[in-house]
Amino acid sequence: MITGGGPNNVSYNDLFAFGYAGGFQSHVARRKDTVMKTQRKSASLFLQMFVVAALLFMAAPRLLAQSSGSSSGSSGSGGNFRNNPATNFNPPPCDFQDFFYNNVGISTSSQGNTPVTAQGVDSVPAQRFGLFRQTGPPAIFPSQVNWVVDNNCTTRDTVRKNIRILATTAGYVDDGNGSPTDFISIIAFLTNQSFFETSFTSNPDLTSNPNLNTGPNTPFPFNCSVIPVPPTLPDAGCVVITNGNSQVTLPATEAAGAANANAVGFGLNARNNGPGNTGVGPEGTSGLGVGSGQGDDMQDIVSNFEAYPALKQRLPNGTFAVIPCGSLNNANNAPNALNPGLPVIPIPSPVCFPVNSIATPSLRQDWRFATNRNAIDGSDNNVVTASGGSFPSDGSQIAHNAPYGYFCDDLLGMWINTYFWFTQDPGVSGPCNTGPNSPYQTVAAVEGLNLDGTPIVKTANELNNILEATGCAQEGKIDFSGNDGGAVWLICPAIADPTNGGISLDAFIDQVRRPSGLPLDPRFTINFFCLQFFGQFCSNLTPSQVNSAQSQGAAASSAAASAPAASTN
Amino acid sequence: MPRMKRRFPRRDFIKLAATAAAVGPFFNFSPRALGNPKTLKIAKWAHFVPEYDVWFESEWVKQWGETNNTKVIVDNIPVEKVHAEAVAEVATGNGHDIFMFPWPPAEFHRHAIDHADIYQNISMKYGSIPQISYKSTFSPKTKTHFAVADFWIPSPVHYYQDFWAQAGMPLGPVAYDGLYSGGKKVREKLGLPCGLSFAPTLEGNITANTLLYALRGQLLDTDGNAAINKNFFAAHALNYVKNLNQDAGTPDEFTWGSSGNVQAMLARKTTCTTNAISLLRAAEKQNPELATRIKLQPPLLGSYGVTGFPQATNCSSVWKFAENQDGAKQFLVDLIDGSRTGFEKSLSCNFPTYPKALPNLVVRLDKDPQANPPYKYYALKDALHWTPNLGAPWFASPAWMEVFNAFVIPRMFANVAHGNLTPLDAAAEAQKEVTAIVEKWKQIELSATKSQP
Repeated sequence: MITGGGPNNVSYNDLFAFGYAGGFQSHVARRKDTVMKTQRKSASLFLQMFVVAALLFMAAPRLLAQSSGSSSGSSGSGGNFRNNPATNFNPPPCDFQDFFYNNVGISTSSQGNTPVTAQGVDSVPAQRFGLFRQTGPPAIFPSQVNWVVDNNCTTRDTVRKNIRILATTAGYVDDGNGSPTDFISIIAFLTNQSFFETSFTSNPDLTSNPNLNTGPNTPFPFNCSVIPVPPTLPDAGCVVITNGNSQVTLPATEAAGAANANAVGFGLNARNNGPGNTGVGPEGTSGLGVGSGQGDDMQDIVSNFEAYPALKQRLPNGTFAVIPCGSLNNANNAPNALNPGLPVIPIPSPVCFPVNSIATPSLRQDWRFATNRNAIDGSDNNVVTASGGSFPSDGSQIAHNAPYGYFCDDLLGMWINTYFWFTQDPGVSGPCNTGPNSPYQTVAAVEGLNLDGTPIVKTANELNNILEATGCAQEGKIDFSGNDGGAVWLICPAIADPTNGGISLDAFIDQVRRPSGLPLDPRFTINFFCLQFFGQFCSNLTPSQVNSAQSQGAAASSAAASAPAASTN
Repeated sequence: MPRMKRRFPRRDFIKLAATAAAVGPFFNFSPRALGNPKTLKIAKWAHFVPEYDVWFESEWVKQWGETNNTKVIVDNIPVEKVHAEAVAEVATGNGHDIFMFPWPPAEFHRHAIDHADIYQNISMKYGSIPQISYKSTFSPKTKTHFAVADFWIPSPVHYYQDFWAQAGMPLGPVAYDGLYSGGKKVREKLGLPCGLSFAPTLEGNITANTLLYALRGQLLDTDGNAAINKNFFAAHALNYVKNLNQDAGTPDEFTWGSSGNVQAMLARKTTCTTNAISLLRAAEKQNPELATRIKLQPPLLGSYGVTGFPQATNCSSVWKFAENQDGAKQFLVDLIDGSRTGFEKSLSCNFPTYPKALPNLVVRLDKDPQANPPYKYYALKDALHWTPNLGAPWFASPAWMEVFNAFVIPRMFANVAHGNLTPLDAAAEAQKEVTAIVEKWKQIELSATKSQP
């Protein structure tokens, strides 16, 4: 048996009691001095916050009223940053326009009603925001909606659709120290390889007329003068994607090397459109501007960015399943094969946990997100050797195997789901949980326990080097043809910078909650409120600001909980 | 060490030509051509693409010999005999001047000169040593470079798109889980297995070591000690291969001879494999229609990421006993100049280690004159990112390379697949073998240290 000694084993009161002292890592900086001072004061905070929250609840006039076309406004003392353009400049997240999906290699087809037959993100199995899921999970209150129509989205960014995402899913920085600072928007689920375009043509001048895209999965008219048939390539005017690869040729002005700042959106599956590719400029030169096509298959790019859903393994009848259902229910994942000290179970096992839904109520802990072998901020000294970099012989620089940057190349913010699970029932003694140095105890002592009673996992180090290395956990990807019924990939862009307006006032946090409704990891909640009401991570705020954020958040939650059910379109 | 001469500069050539035109043709000799002819003996592994060897011997070497007043003798050695041949040469202290290996010859580092000054000369023109060369040819123990690595060959996934589409995976296997589940479905539906090689051949060695590495198994730890049995990753990899072979593979995977997996793919007897693109080139040559159905993918995604060892890392060592060391050094410096043509003659197999030697690599991959469609090889664009050096995550050490050349990992997989040993026992057996090799090299290093003045 294991006991949780980590900081996540706390009651909701701890949300206030231990507040922001959990070692947050802001994307900008840390203020440990502030944190330490706040810790000392935290003991009395709960009572204070409760009172303040109650007062705010009475006073706040529908603080979080969700309305179409608005993402800003006053929020009391903490919302002042929104009145200043110098502190309120990051847009809240919106979905992408269909042409943008298409041009980076993702189909927007609505065809197919099952995970196997679905063809694109507008299909029922994809459950794309804007078409589906306006209410219900991840929204937790009847009054909450997961997305709203917001006509400012496209005005702010032409590749964005006027669907603004309110459901803000929290996750740990897996390839770092597990800090609770990632926030993403789970827009759609991809259930099979057909979501990746295999045949598509579009007009490259997206900004002048984005609706000229065409292809078997889009309704728009074809705009190329001559339909190019591979291997014949188009001379100009088209983006063509074929067989999972793609081809782009830009208008003559761009091909000749004239940078066109408006030519955004040729990334990923579009082909290299640099002058070298056209034969006009010197060979070897790279493409033009942001999103200038690299010609990479989206499927290959996404493989470098792993999201880790932690599905509940404890079944409704209380049984703990040690293996997933579906294609992963095979001999490769038999617990006994991973650690011979574990019980032998029949394979395929009739006792398995489902993998067909990653909705928040199905999770045992919050998400982890790994940009994998290439740090977003370059802190890993990643050197792109393929572009001409080389290394001093003293080994002072290192090479990493991921060629892509999340925000540079993965323009839809996609992830491949890596499901991970525990191979031993925590309620039964065995090699994974016997003794204080057992793998379960080691991780639980630091991170606490999840809803299943197994350790919360926040980092790759914990999963790989402590749990998987001992056969006490396993990871895998579900069937790429859709047979498992779940999400193989996600359209769920991380909010590049959630500070300074990135979290709107009507957004709400989507996180794993205990049966009581209280958050499993309150640090996400607090960070979210700090970002929402002060535009900064808590670690960059004063103690009084953090307190204020907490109280406003508590009031907002109370208001949302008591508001009448939302009407949906 | 005398400073090596660089190739004849264009400016000097123009001056010389002008002088020659003025005073007559009698003194128009390259400085290197002066003096008595020398001999340079090269042992070279036989390339997967025969056209490359033809160019290398009949054009490149011939031209270099004429320029340098040297008679160059090239002996092609089948890949499977390279190790034994090298062992024989160092045992007798006699043989070729340059020995070109398809993998890092760390085992032979005591018999090779320090190649640091060769890299230094190359750096004048092509920049500092690339990471893959550095980690493939540098010995942290002796602080010397025991070879020069001028090109490497990526090893992507090849799959028949038409076969895999029938399993609902038209874009082929992407991850090891997908290889298993998809491969199983394809075999159940079509009766055709996936065909990864795990045989004691170069192909099998690369595939087996790649799979182990991608699933987080490691041969050595950070201190250079045997680490196969340090955790359950190797056992998991062994279990995976056993099930993959049983449910989606073929028994031939463990018994194929050299290029057996290639022949099986070309005959449409298997649906996928990992190999150098010489496979696809052979298909393009033999049956262009067939080649259009073969697609490429980067290596499979494992728990360690998208990663795959190179099918070959061309590492050239100048022996300490080489009779023409100066000529050998000059040859290796000049060899980088041939990277561009080498890439072409190898039909895009040879990726130069020095990016500057072929700055438009990506463009070339995008517009391949033989491929259909022309951008088929674009999947290799980022090969350098997903290709670690043999020996990774560490340097290519003598112990790691001896384990490699003794086929310890393919044998370990075969023992499990054939039911001779359980995964745990096989990992334990391999651990013993690796430990013995590690200890042997520790003794060798110790003796070498003691014998130093």
